Amino acid sequence: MYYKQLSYKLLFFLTFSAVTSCNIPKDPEDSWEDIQKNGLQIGVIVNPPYTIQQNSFFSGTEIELIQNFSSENKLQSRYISGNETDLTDKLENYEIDILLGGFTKKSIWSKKVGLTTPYDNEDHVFLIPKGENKLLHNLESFIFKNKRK
Amino acid sequence: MSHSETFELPDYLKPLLKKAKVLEWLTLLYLLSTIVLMYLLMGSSQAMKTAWLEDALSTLPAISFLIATRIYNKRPNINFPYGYHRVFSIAFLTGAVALFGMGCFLAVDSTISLISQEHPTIGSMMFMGKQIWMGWLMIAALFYSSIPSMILGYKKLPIAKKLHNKILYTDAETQKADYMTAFAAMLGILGVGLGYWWMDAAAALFISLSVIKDGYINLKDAIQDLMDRRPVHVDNSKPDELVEIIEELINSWDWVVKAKVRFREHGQVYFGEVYIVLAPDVDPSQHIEKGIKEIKELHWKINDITFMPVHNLPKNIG
Repeated sequence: MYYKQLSYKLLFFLTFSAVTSCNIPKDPEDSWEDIQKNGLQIGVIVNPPYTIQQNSFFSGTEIELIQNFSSENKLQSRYISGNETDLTDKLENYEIDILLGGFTKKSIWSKKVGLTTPYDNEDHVFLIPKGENKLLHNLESFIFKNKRK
Repeated sequence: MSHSETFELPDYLKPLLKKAKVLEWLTLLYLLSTIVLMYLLMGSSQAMKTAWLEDALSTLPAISFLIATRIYNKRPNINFPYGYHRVFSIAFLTGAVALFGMGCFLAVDSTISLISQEHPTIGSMMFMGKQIWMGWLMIAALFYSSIPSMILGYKKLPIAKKLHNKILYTDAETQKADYMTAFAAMLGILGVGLGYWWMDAAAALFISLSVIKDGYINLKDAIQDLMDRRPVHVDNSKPDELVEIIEELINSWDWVVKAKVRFREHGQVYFGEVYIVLAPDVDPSQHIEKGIKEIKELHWKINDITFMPVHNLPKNIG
């Protein structure tokens, strides 16, 4: 009797999971949809060799990676440079979508923002708004693909 | 006039205790494996953290049971003239305090993450050449943490009743209901996957409330036992009718005019006093030892009885 009830619950749960699994995970604040409409808002903290700024021209290893990501996903992109405090605040308030600056996975900001999986073997990561799991999923699938090359 | 059995359990129950010990060892090993697995997958999910801490806590009853079973059966000595039976009550109290305290902490912690709108970030990992969302792995880990646990709980429950052992009973009950926790945590994670960040913290809050409820019930029970409450059944906390049966038996003896008894639980067994008004011209020394033997034959749980001949029955013993 008891087991039967439980197996119904399990069955329901599995069906529910299967039906919904194709578009999981989603973004609570719809970052990814916003990015496709309005382009990727990229925060940049100057930190060579990862991020370099000359006038309004941005370069560096992380900038290159993100440019590849944007073109692969056919995204417009816009750079916003600033200091760490301002830009992490913007990230926390979902005003920008990603923050570059040679952060590692031990970053002190990890309580305020989300981290991607490391894109190299030195534990360097990108920062993203907390809980935007679809954006994270897409970024990480790009990172995994790149790491394998 | 008092006499304490060194060995609590009758022969037919000894193999059952052994089985209980084996089950508790299994429980402990299994819980350790789930604790490691869930820690590795926890990420920033509040529900996972709560379910993980609950699993970590549920090792306590198993550990205290295994320690207590090494001690409870020691022979009474000059320092512990009543024996070591109560070690079970102490173990039970310790577990209850831990459960209750941790439940409160988790409830506050989950409420804070709900209020501060903490959005759990759950990434993905490469698994056999495919990118897989960590949420699915967490759900799988939660399955692993619940199904065997339930089976163990079901196996321990009848043993606990037969042994009149509260730690074992509570442990079995909590494990049996563990699927609720796991289920809530799964819903929380699935909710996050669907874009409802608050479901994670809400699930965590639900789990912590159930931890508090368990903790409170156990705490109340443990304190009442240590306050020398009259014996109750392990499964429903209803008064054990054995006490009344003993009183009736004593009152039926022809060398007793009237009698009053009081009993309390010492871990798995009962200790108590019998006040008797003797029939005229009766020499109690001839009857009392026989009487004790007769009472003990009623049930193995009756471990220690003291007879006190009086003129009038005391009024302040309940």
